[in-house]
Amino acid sequence: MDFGKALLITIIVLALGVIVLPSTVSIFHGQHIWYNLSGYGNNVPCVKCHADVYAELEQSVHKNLKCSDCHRANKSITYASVSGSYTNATPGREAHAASIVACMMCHQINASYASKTPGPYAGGFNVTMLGVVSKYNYSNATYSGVVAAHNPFVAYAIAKANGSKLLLDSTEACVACHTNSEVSMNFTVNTGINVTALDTPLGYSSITGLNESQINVTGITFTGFKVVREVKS
Amino acid sequence: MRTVGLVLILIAITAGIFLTTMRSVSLLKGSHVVYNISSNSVDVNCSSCHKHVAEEMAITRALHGPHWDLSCVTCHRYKGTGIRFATANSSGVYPGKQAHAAYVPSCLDCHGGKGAWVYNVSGVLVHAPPARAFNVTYESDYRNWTVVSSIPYYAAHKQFVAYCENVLHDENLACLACHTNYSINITYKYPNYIYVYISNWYITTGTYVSSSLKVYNVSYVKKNIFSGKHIFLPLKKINCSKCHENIYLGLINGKHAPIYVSPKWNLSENLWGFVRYHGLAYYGITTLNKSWINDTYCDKCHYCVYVNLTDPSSGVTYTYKNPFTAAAKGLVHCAEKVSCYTCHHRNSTYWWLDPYYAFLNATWSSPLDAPYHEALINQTALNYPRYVHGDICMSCHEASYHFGKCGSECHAGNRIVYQYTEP
Repeated sequence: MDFGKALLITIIVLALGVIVLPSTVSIFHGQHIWYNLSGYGNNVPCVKCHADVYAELEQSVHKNLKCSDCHRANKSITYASVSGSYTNATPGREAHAASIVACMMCHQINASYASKTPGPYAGGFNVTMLGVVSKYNYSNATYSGVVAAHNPFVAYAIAKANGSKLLLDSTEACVACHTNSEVSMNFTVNTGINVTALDTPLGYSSITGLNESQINVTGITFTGFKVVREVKS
Repeated sequence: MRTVGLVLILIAITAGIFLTTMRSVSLLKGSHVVYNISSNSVDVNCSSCHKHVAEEMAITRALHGPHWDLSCVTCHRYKGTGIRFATANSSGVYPGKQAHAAYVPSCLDCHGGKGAWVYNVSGVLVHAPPARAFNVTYESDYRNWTVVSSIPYYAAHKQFVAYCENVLHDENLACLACHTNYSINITYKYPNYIYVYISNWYITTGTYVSSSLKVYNVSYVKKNIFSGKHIFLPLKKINCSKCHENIYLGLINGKHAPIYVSPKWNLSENLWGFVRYHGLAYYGITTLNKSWINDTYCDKCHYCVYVNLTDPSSGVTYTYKNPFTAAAKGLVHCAEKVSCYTCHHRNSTYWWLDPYYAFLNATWSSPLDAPYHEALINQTALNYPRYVHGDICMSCHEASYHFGKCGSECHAGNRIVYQYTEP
């Protein structure tokens, strides 16, 4: 008997074992150990399923935050909860255990949507001037954000998020700069201009005492467009 | 059978990987590693997303061009205009007001007014010099030029800056076109020729023919990593001839200001038998040399006084005599608009640059005697556009297009003369 046959037989035996053996135990090990949700806070360990997120948070400036500080912090959402006793349970409405979250929920100008202590205001953006509407407050008269270089990035992220399955609001833009996320960008840039200039008479100048002319610029257009790929890793 | 075995092994390994790895991943890997930005330095690295811009700045450093010792923050978080950027440091968190991380600066934010003091990468204060003549408020019509606080009429390139500012709302483009590796294509359109009617040594009628345009294309396309806007060129690498190639070719072909002055002051000498070349010497030039045509050469006419004041090493030896000229007052950026009249008339701005005071001391015999000659020049300057001035002069002094010797064409009675514009 060659090696292949031996391996095939081994796998078949193991497969049979998997099918046969669990008949004496529950399908999922531990499935009858129910968490007690009646204590304070979130008693379901998010990390069980989101170990990667937990590992990332350990390296993050947010490492002292609980999962619920962000993902159960939206004041406009009723999350499923139990207070004191299972008889005092509140079913979730808009969300059960958690909701995905936009950075600006906690970092908008007054963080009115956040139930926890808001994070510092990420001031200096203005998306309304680019015709984009967000439920979060990006600017006001004092924090106008009118010259922010990344306004288009933030505004586009919001616009794409409205009605899509990308991250909420401008979160793509936030995490692109403020986290370790890999970002790939295609910049379409112009590399020059076309100038049209016409020698033009102006008339007598009492300042120079001469009859004047000048080379008038009559048109400028951009040229040399190319796409440059940037990868942040 | 061996193949089947290998496939099964691979399936088993894959299944093992699925069982042993994490059960879920976040939508964006790394999105929960939020940077700590509370240190006193810049914690978000601009070049992580703008690597190509950083590479262009590295070229600037290698060239030792302007801004070589500046960081992204110096320009893009410049606070001199009152913009407050988002800041987090050991003293607290301060939300941005007008901008969050950065803004797109106007060159004149630092180079306007009297310039600005900024910190370089070493934390040393360095001075951003004012962009003379352009560091002021622009007035659209030169005839309204009544105060020094507007870009003076004399400043060449004013229209370029003005168009970028007023039409494109980005005067940076004009700065970038000259001071960086940003590419530029220019289509110049000149009247093809001027028409004058000469009667008894005076132009009795004259016009420029704008319906017939001479088109000249200059293409100055540069290869860059990104847009080229962050490769700042040392001033000595800014070459006038690149954008004014037609002038350059006119010079080396003897068609731009190609005056030859006889050392003997003798009209009978073959005025058109020599190669004529303006400015390098006043006589004896018999061979054109392309190497002479460089920015220093251009500066001698178009930026002469100011170069002399600011850069004695330039080799320009003109004597600074008139402190009230536009260039001397810093009202010229890199070039001043001139015509023959500018230097060769006794009432002109730079009359002392003409060692022979051509129109003042002309002692030539009739018909080119001084009074007539000067009257013609005055009449031209007062009544015809600046670009015609040179053509009127060239009609006599340039061999290339001359119709013939004095008296045989233009002055042989009343004549209609078509003079092709230079260069």
